[in-house]
Amino acid sequence: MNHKITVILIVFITLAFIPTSKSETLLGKNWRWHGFAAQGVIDVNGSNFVTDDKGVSTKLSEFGVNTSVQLTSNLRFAAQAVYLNGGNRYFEGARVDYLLLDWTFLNTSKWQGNFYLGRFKNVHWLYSSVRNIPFVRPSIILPQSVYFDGFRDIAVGADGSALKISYNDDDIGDFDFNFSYGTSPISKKQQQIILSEFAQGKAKQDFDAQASLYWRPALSQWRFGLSLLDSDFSYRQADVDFFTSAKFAFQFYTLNALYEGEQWEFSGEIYQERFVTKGLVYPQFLQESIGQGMYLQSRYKWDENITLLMRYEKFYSDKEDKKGNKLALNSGGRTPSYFAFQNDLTIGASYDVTKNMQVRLEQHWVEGTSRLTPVTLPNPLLNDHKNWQITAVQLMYWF
Amino acid sequence: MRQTLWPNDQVIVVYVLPSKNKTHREFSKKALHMFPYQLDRIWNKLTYSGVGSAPIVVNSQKELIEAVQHTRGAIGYSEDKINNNQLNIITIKNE
Repeated sequence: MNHKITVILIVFITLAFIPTSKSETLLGKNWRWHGFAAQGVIDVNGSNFVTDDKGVSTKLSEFGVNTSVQLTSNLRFAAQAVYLNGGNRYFEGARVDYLLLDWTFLNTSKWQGNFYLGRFKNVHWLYSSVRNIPFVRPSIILPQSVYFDGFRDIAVGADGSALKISYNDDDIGDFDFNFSYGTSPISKKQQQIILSEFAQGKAKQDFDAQASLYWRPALSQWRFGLSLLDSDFSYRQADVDFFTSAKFAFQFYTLNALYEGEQWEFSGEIYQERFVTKGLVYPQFLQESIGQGMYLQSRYKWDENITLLMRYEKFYSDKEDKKGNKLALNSGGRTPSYFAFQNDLTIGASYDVTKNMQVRLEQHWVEGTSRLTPVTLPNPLLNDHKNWQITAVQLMYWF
Repeated sequence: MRQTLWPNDQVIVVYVLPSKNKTHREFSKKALHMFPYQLDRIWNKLTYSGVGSAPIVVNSQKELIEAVQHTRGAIGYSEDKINNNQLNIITIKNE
């Protein structure tokens, strides 16, 4: 191939030829609207991941609309609202995923810096910024070890401020450093997802501090990243309550790698979490567990429209009790050992129907039930199978 | 590729052809050293995460040139020779 490609630029001399009023700048080309709609059917056989009943469910709905406007040359406003229905995975209803002011305080060919204020999106993990975008994330159901749907509304972003600094160098590559500090509101419905309907008090996140660093070597198809998270939560019991007041500390560390070739794509993420609970069961209760997880994923572009997916994921919530023997023993046999881990083998395919419409199909074979809701009160009556399966089909459209 | 402002603080408005367009694919691979699907992912991430704006997609080369010509701070690409004194043209030759 020996094509000649011409780049055309408009430079300052053209300014005189283009009449643009201030209102046109604000409300015309600078104001953008986008959205998506995704509806599917999901069949879960052997757990209450989506519904407490057996059978095919239509609780696989995601609708979103967003807007952004360039207020000045270095100040933007952006917001997105979504409606979700995922059954037991997260609460059904509308929420604001982000609503922020974006200030570009540094912008050269090598350095870029942005400061975000408001409700910002979590950009620290490999797929955290796209977990709520049906057609961009790699699968209908993401690896639950890292992208646990029960924590979706807490992990998708936070209210506070965030910083991004990028450095680009032709020899050593591109670097992105992100830091964020904030809190996520915990609604009554979200609280039920985590603590069950028996929690009558009030849970809140005290703080969430995260940092991440990504590096893409120059002209490389690889990208590497690491992230660190430190967060505290608290629970204030009601006058009459199943639980007692509690404090929770949560730390979460990830390493990830991504390869994007012309046809093949490989990605993986390994992580460790530390979770400390003081109270909740009774006032003097103290529990510390270190969970670990990983997944390896491959995607293959069969042709221009079809992409195939394969992924294996492994997770256990306590590295000292990988098989769950201690969990079963400490609960007097009420909680089966398979509630201590969750492994998932996934295959899938996506087909681009048009440039902005896609259909996806995937199958999961899951072993273990440690990533089901409510987190603190696993239900062994409804989840009496160690091995269970998910089949899902979703049609998605975006504009 | 990540720069969003010209040195005079004018916002850079990027116009592109659809990702399956032959010129777009050539430009993406030869000039940006990226596959078109990688660009789509980056732009979708910007658009639906609130952290940036994606380029504006136009349907044809003619439309792209007209859009660049009539937008302040705009940039685009073409495989065809362009004769327009309102545009600053940089030629990239692939060996």
